[in-house]
Amino acid sequence: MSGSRSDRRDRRGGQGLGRRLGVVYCWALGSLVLLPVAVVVAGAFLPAARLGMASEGWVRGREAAVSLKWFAYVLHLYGSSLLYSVVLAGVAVSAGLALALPAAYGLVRHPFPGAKLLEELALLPLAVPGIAVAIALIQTYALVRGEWWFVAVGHLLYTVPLLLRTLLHALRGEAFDEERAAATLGAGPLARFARITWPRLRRPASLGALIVAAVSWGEFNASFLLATPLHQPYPAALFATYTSNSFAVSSAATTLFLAGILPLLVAIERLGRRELMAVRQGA
Amino acid sequence: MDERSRPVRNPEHPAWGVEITLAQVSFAYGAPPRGGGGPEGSGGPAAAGLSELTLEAPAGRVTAVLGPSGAGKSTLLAIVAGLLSPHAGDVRFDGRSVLRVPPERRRLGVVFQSYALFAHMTVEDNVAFALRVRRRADGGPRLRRRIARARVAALLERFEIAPLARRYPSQLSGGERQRVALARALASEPRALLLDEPLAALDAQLRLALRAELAERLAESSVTALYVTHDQEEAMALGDRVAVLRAGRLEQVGTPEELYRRPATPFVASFIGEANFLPVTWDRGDGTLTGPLGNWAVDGAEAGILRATNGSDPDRITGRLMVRPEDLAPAAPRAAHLLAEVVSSTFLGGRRRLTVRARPCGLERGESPACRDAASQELRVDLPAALTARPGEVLPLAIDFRRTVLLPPDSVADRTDANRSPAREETP
Repeated sequence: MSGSRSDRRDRRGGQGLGRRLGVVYCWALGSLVLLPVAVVVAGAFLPAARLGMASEGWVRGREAAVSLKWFAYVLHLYGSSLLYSVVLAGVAVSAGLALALPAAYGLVRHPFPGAKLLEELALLPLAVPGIAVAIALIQTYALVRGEWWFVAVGHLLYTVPLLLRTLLHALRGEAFDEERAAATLGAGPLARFARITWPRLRRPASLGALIVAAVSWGEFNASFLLATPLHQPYPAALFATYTSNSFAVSSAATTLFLAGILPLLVAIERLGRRELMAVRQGA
Repeated sequence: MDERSRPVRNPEHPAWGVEITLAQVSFAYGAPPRGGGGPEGSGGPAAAGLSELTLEAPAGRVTAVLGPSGAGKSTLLAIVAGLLSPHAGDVRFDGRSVLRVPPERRRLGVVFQSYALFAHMTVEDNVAFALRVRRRADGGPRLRRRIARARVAALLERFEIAPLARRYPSQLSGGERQRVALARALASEPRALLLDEPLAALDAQLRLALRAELAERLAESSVTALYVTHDQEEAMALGDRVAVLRAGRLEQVGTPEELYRRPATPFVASFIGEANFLPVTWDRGDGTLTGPLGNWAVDGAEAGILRATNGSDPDRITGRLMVRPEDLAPAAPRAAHLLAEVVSSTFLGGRRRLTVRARPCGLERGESPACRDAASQELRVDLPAALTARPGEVLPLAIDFRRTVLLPPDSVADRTDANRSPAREETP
């Protein structure tokens, strides 16, 4: 018995070494990726003296070890952009769902000649560079370019295909069988949607909404090109801090940006995993 | 064919359910359906349509719809359920057309091949679904709820799924899912039960066990049932009557025994059980069957020949004589109808299956080289397992003409053959 135990220890030792090396490697790689982010975030909190920059003269006073003044500065300068981006994300999510839900339902449940083609066309903007989309929008709808919601239209061009794809997938296959079964059991169209279709769509739709919010929050090309001086989405503002402000200010702006997108990414990851598990269980 | 032991319907339990009639129903995938578009996914490229199908499913009985894949069985079921609209023809419940009645108002129970259980609901909620969504005029909501709860509890008990009531479909085995699907379909006392290959998703052993169980449950519920399957044994075990479908057309309807003993077409003969087909010509004048394998004097009525004439009375009929493997038996040379050389012999437990090569001559004239080169035909023969036959052995075989049937040439198969080889001459 003791022999087998030592064998086991040996084996574990061998595995342990490989595992430990693997862990070190992964952390090293992760650090390489994370280091620039860490530097930027740290830069947002450090006073100018520590960063070796004396030129920043907006907030004067006693210099603490850690400072939030860059955030105050960014909010003062670009607070409206931040708010504007939050509104844009909200518009993109609600308008996206309002467009994609009926479209997906119609394409799957009431197909018509050319429905497949339309579906493919709707997914096309995903493959086109953002700049091209933005320029196409500007050229096509020049008259409404100044409107505050025009940037949201650019975002929708990306996000509706994403939503559509998620919803189409959820509506096909088993969901269809279940709707048919519900119909034969006496459920009318409304009852079918409320009791069968929507419970199945709820999670994919939430996942899609989160992805749309994240894309809208972080999308640069369309945001930058479609924005007017009056309405600057936050990514465009972020760009402005890089070109015309100090490192500390742009760091604070970047940190605010990350604070907005990280919770979304975590939620997407968790919901996505649950969705995947649900799909596996259903199969 | 063995006597089948099918559960007898409970005479105390009155038959409930409607008589379902399909009258000249046609449906083609891809064509614009009457009364609006059908939903996607209902057919797919493999799904077959129907052409001028007429079928009656009597009230309170199980009608099995049997056919190979692509015969249009599931299409038929979807049309009865109202999930597809036929392009022509009528569907009637107790003589009343239901074409304008949407599926949710047809009051049917459907068991789908995939079971289509609601994945986000527990077993109990699945079974209770119909009672919750179906509006009833009688009683207030509270009374309805109490009745529904009692009925669901009774069904869970009856189908032995009460312990699973709180589970989700993903936590059930195939057999359990099937029971839940059946209980759910029966919950609202449907006017008819439609079953689409409910056993196809199960493994062979479970399928047999559940088939017996299903037969029992169908018998005790005495509901009109349409049972779609591609498995002839299943159809014969469950169906009071079996309708054989092929390429969207009805080939024959009858009791399992009728289909086996008196098939109307070569397709039915070979789909229900196994059959040999001997090309023959019947001559009424001298009462003989003549074919490449021999000349036999037989009683036309007995040999199932007159059935092939459809009431008319021609002097000569050319067709194919269906001979079941068990209706060929070794005989004394003088009583034999043909000589056959054993090609292979397989022991199958209860019987022995021979493949033999029947020769057109030899019985009267004896062996000759010319005779051996003449046309021959492979036949399947079933013997009692105790009899042995070695490959190469030559057996005199007798045909039991009381059990044969003269069939017209297979029109559908002939058409396809003609399409395949356009050079072939068309026979009138």
